[in-house]
Amino acid sequence: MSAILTLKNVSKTFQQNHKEQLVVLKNINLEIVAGEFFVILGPSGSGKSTLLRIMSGLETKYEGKVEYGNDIKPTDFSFVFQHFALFPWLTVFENIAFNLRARHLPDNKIKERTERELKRFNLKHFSNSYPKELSGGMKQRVGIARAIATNPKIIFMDEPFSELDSFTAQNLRQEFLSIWKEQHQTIIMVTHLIDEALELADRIAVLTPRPGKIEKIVTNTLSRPRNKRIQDFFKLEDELYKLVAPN
Amino acid sequence: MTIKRRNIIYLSRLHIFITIGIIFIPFVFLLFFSQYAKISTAQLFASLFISFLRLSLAYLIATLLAWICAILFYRGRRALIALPIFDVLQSFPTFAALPLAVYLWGQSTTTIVIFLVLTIIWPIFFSLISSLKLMRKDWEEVAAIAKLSSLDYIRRFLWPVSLPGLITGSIIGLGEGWEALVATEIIVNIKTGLGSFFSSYSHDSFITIFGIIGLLLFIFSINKLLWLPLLERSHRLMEE
Repeated sequence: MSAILTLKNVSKTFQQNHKEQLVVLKNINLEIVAGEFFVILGPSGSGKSTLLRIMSGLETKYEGKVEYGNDIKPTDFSFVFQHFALFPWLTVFENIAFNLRARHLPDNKIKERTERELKRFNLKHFSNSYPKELSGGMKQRVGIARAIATNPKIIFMDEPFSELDSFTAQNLRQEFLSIWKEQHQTIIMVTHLIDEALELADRIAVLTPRPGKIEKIVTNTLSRPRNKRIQDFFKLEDELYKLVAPN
Repeated sequence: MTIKRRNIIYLSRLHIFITIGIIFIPFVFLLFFSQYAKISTAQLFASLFISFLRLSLAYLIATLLAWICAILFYRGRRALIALPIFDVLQSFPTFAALPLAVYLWGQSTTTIVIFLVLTIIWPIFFSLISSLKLMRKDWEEVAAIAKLSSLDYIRRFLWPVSLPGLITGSIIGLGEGWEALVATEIIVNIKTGLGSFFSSYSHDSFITIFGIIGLLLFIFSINKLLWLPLLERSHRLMEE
């Protein structure tokens, strides 16, 4: 399989004041393969979100190199945000259609794709609602629908389920997994939850506490749908816990 | 169950009828007042209309300039340099520049409009700046990921984000504008408009007082008809 995204010696430093510098990421080397579900796992402050922003092009000031596969354009990216980031002045329909309008698709195409997502995420009855009228779970459904509507090749997800209660998060993870199984985009997701990483990922990159470096990349070979109550799951969970837990 | 869109300005038909009713009150008041005080109704309405046009023109120019400046200077290195300069400029007493404006453009509508622009622009500009500065970072990231063209970025993103600031600034700016309008027309000694009207009846306290009441009713009705519903709507649409 060919690499869709490659990071070479990526480091990121924030200037705190005139003298002090904060090194957030140090010498990150990664190769992400097309179609895989890749999870970046690490404790708070390990630079996971910064790394995701660098990969997605949202953060442009960094050292090192980020390379994309030959057929990848910036318009092939989508992003799912931790706090949903829906525009409150737009209806659910218009929020989902936002990225499509940016691509200047014809109106009938926009309508068709948006309605496809509304149906897929059971949001049809809320098409004309505003985000404030939705629950957290529904807001994130809209956020994911907006990301998927453009048929992206890479979807970046920044702790997309962390704002939801555990039951809603579990349901939405399953829904998202079934969509991913159909479409097989490349997913790059950040989380601090070991269970979530194991449930979703093909590979898990574990980051060290600041400055974030790659401690280890764990390959998750558990078959899908994943049973969280089997020995192999516990074994991997323990391995990840040892890597993530503070010494 | 389908939830209806709530991006409307007026909440109900009754709201529209009441608001339209309110806009007639100052006109009816001014009509009776002119008849009672035996002054020319045509002159009174013409004065009100001319002053209103001057203020509207000044408002349009000020809004356009304020919005362009706010978009250019709300963040980054440019903001660090420009905002303190704008802050000093806005504290400059505009009336002090009036003799210079009269010297340059004479006793003309141009002088009044330029003077009004200088008065109105600051509340609108700073209100826009606060709106844009309060914008959520992840909204900007959504816009960045969408790869909007420059024009779409302004139209689909910056315009709606700046709208609450524009409306709040407009209400404050126009309030100050009305105040400055009559005073400027009197000082410039122009022969048309409300300033001229109040100046020529300054010896008659009855006409002056009722003229002021009529003007206040007119300003109140515009606020009730347009600005307050717009303000409510923009706040409703920004609720998360």
